[in-house]
Amino acid sequence: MRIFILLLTVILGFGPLVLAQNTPKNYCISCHQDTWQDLKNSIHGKQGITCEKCHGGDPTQPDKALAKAPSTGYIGVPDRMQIVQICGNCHANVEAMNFYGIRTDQLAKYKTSMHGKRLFENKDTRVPVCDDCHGYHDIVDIKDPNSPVYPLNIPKTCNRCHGNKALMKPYGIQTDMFQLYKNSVHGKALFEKKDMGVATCVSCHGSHGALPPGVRQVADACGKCHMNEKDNFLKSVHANLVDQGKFPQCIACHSNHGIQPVSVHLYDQACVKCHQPQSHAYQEGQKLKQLLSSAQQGLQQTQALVQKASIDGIFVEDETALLEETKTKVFQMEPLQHTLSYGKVAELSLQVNSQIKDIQNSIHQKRQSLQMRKIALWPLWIFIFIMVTVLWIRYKQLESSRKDKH
Amino acid sequence: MMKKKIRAWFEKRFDLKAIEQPLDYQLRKPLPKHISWFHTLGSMSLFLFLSQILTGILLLIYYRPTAEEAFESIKFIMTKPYMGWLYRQIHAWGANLMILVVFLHMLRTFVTGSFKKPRELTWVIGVTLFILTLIFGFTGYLLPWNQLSYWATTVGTEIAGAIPFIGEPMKVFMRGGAAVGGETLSRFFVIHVIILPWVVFFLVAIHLFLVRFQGMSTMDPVDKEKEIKKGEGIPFFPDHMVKEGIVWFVLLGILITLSILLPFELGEKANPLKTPEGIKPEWYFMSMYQVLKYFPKLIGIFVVGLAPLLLFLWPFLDRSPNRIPFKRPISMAVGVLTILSLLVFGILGTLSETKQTFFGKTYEFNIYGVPHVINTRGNSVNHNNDKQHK
Amino acid sequence: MDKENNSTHEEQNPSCKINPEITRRDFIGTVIRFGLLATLAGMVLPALSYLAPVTKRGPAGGLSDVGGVDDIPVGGGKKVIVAGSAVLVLHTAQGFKAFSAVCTHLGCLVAWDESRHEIVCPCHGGVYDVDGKVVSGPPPRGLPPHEVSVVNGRIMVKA
Repeated sequence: MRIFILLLTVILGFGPLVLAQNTPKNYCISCHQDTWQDLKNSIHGKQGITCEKCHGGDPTQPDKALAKAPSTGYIGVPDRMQIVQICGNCHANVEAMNFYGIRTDQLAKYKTSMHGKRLFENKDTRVPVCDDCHGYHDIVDIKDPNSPVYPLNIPKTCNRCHGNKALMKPYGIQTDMFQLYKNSVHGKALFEKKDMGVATCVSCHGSHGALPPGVRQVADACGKCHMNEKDNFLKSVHANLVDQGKFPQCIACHSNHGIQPVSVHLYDQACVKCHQPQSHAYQEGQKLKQLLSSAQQGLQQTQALVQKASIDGIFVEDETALLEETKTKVFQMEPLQHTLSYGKVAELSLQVNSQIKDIQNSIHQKRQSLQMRKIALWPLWIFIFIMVTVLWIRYKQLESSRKDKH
Repeated sequence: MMKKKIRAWFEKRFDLKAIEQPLDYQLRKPLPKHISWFHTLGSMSLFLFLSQILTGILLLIYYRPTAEEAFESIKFIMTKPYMGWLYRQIHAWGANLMILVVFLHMLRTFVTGSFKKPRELTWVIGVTLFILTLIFGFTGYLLPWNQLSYWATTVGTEIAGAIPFIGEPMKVFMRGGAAVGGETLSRFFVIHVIILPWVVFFLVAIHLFLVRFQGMSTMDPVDKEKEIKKGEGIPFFPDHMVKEGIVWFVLLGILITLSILLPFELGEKANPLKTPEGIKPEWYFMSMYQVLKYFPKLIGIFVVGLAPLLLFLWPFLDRSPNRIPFKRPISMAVGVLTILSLLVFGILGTLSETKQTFFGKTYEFNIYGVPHVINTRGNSVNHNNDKQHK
Repeated sequence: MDKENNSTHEEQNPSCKINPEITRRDFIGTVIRFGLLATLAGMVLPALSYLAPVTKRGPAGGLSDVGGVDDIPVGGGKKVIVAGSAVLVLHTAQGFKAFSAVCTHLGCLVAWDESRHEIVCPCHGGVYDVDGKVVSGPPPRGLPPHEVSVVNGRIMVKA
């Protein structure tokens, strides 16, 4: 009895290990040698998940015909519909995935995605299924830079289909997103700075549940990262139009895939799309632009002023600290402008201006006191000159009195 | 009234006359006729020494000799307390001027032959004072704890490490550890503000006593000096004193003017992990630093060590009785050569490892101070030669 | 200087009796005396004002006194300037903590949100926890901590 319990513990405790070691010989690979090379190093191969899990069949049978006998459930190359199901067998199974700590909602999400809907509802097999993005025999962890769904590789992976004009034609989907994205502020951050936190395709469209965000969801998509902008935007006059479906939120001014770094000139370029240049609304926008650009300019000039003073050997620690605060305020104006409230932005701009004035005054005073030191040299030397003269007269007097005595 | 009372109080207790008479005698003891403006260099040194002590005491009020706080406390002195910047600048400029003035004072003594019998001891003390002034400069330079001072001190102490046998332990002893750090700062601080000031103070006192007691040297040959009769020379007080007053005022003006127009910048805080480019010692060590480059380490130190030894022994080596420069051609030649070599090596040291433009052409100076023309592509023409040299 | 001044003064009287140009000598003597006095005053007065305490805090560097323990209630935070850079001091239940107040994203000054119990950046919505670690938002790194200690009821922050 005791021995039995011990044995049980050992088997349970070293279960996976024992299994891996005791796996009977896999005869599939005697023919499919090259496939085995891919599978061996994949995330599945390392876990002992091999051929029969996806393809059916009996790998323990050395005989080819017996291994692929109908009774073994052999399916050969699975079709697209099957692939989704086969992956889902494990990956949608909470019990199976619990051990690895992987989420299990991918299949459910996929079914809600445009890809999934077309596959299941329209039986459209041109849509991507799991292996189109993740690969198949050589699947690696998504944290591996070689994975096609590693953040750096996502745009290229999506572009494999979405950049294909012929493939996209029946759906009427644009195919220039990759080019646009590559040159956008996000694309540059991703490809040039290798910034993994930046938005890729999946950040806005979702991955397994990929969908184009509807007019009302744009702010939610962008607001995942740009939350202050989103909150402020929802307070603006334009937010009301969204409910009527008239205003596509963020992209109305900023565009989407090819989004460029923003500057105040957006007030000149974007507003005219809807507002006449003579209109009150356009003028309001120009007033905001004025506030922002003057604050930014003021900050830049003051930064240059402080830097120059520092180069000239003036101690500018206090001014640098104050400048940090001013910079924060100027940066704060950027999300705040999305309220399109002149009053709110003007309030911040007033604070910025007064701080800038303080810094400038303080630097000016320091420069003046340096100048004063130099001016103070004049009275000093006049005094020294007088002293030298009287002492010299006294010396001559002493000399002449000495000669007189002689 | 008050004065008389105080005098009376003292007279009842001390034999004032016995003190006053020799004092008065020394004070009014006439100086020889040939006394010129060059003879005020000694009192200029004294003025600068006093100025260094006074400004030094003021700086000590706010200075903190730790690696963490030294730099910040100097910055504090330069920004917060009233005129703190001026005291620091006067102290820094005073140090540089003092080295120059003490050297010139020594040169004057050499030229007028005043170091000869019977004043050899005054000379030896004077040379000691000059070397102590240099050590003052070396130790004080580290105290602001900025990049320049940190690395100049690292290089400076490294040189000492090259002395055979005792060099390495001496280097570690000076630094208070393997590298220049907080321990070095403490050591240098103690030397700079406690040990040196008192040693110099007593040596100056002896030096001055000897000068007054033996009287100023005349231009007469050794053993034929005539005592100056009363009324013949220039009385030290008040006549010569007035002259020195003039010099002191001008020197004070120069100190303040330099402090304002050419202030010493504090620079960056010392960073033991980042060596800045082109580390060089202060100008007063430049020629010595340059000479060391031309010789293998040991011989270099021997050559450099010879100079102070020669200075000490000079009165015993130069035994001709004449004081007038024209009658001492060999001495003068040695003097001129020394000054010239100091200048040449100093200039070479300053130019070495820099790029300079003369008459539209840019020259790159290697570590030996040898120039190479740089062509338009910015490469040294003699680049290969240069490498072979090294 | 002092000694010289007195001596000149003493010297003045006997020479006056001998020399006939009394007025001129007197004038020169007065000027010299006045000048020496002025020089002395010019040296002593600035030195005295130099010695006058300039701030409550000494030189910055090492530890800086940023306020009393009572200045920040438990659960509160305060932004202070230490050696020219902004530092956020927090009073948590576990004691005082201090972080650089410069957001690691684009250098805005972060603030302590008492109600959320988080450090938030007002510019791009970066959020840090009470240990300065990034909770959400764009900051690439956490806030570098500063050493804090409480000495005699004063909060001391290391620069």
